[in-house]
Amino acid sequence: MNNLDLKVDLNGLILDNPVTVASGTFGFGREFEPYLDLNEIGAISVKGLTLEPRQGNEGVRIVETPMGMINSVGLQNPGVHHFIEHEIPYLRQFNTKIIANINGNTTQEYVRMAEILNSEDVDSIELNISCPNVKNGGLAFGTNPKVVEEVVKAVRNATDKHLIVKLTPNVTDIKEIAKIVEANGANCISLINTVTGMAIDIYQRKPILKRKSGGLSGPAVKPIAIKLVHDVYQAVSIPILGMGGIMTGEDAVEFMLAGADAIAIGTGNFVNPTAVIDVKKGIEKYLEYMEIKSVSKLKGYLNTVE
Amino acid sequence: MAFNGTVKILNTEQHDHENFSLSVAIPETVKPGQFFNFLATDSGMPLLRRPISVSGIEDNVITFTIKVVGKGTQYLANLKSGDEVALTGPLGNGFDLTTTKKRTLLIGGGIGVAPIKGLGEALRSMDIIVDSVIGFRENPILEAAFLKFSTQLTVVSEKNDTYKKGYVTQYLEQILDENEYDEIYACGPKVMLRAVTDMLNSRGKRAQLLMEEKMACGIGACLVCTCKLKDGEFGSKMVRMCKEGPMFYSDEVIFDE
Repeated sequence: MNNLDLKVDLNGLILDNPVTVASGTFGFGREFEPYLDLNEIGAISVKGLTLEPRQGNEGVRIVETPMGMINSVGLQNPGVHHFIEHEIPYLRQFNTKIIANINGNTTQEYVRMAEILNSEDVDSIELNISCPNVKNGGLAFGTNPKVVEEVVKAVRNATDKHLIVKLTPNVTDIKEIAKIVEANGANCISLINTVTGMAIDIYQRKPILKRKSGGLSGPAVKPIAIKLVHDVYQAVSIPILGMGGIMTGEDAVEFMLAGADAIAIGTGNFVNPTAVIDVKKGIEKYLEYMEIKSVSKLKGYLNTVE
Repeated sequence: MAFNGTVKILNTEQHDHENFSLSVAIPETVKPGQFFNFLATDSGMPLLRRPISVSGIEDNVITFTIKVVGKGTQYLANLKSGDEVALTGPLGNGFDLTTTKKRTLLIGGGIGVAPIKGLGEALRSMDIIVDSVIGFRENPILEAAFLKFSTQLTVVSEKNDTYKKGYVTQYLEQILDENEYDEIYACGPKVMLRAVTDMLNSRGKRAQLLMEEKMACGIGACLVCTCKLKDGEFGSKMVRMCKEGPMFYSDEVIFDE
């Protein structure tokens, strides 16, 4: 069946296909060019950016766990200006949408980055208020409803760009946060960021990571992500970019049935450098098998017959 | 370019209860010191690939010598010739073989002798005189291969009295006094690399160190395997073990506590 319609509309950000890659798992695309055609990717959310370059965390940065990994990279990145000068021109060679993932220590930093990127050639800004690996900002922003309101409102006022807000799973009521994000003008919600996790070296009797805990990702978090995507789907009407442990086309379909419009591959890119292609093929195979012509039909398409 | 796919295992060889080798054919040019990222599961677990250095390069046949340290390497140890394995590579910068002209010294510790063995064979085929000093906790592995290409071979063991007793660094001073080397290469545990670096620093010399760190993607995207180097915009800089490394010069590395 060659007439499958894979286009998805994330409230103004139109993707050729619903398979995107998650921030921090794909660099700026360069490392994957030897393995796959970057034109095949719906969108690339680039490595999390900060105003100034960041060196990242010291010491061990990864612990492998059952069907997952805990990372403590700490937003190592060359800074937003380097991104604008060197990475946007590179990424623009390809037919894929560019999502600039931004991180700050203060609301003012988020605003400043949004202002800077407003006049640059990016297709969307992803507001990361959920990074667990930095001292200030990050996760602290995403767990407090009042702070979420303040930062989303401020960034919304600072840019006309398509705005995605990335949510953390580490909250009591994600619906409340999602509603605030929607009410303050975000175009789309992405979730989940990593789940906070910790591992201990039992012989040294010490946490393996210097900062004690880090962000758990991979198939281990998938059921958590599916549940939270479904919760958010029930709470808001803006589109959802779902992610968390996607390795296969079947995983991707599961996210869309839970309520996601599009999906992102994260840790899966590490295990399989051509995961994007394989997941896309898997989605197509499912659509053909189920005789569904348009991938956008999958969003929340659960069988409700008891 | 790097190969990314599935290949058949041509040969396997068990060296002792925990070390083994396997060979595959790879249609790419591979340098000593480079590595491949192996999918070490058929069930999805362990999740992450295992980075393994090459220990031998003969035309397109690449050999890996591996120590079993966990579930991933145990999976690889159980593979037999004819079985398929998925891998990506060659990855990393590898050793620089152009800096040695006449005589070179190789230093290996434990399973770190594996990439050093591949390097020694390559240097010997370039008519370089190769001396080697290799150390083990108990019994040596790949000793026959080292005997073949080394002009002087020093084998050291902490526990096996058949060999010189102790650590490689105890014999290094004397070896360096006796001969003039235009390049030195080392691979082994971090403590050994650090001791080698300290000794060479005191003599105003440096070595090419093949280092390791836990990795996820192996191709430079995830930033979990870092090596801290001197200089840079932060007074130091974090570079990727898998991409800028795994070979670094001993005088540029910052060894943390």
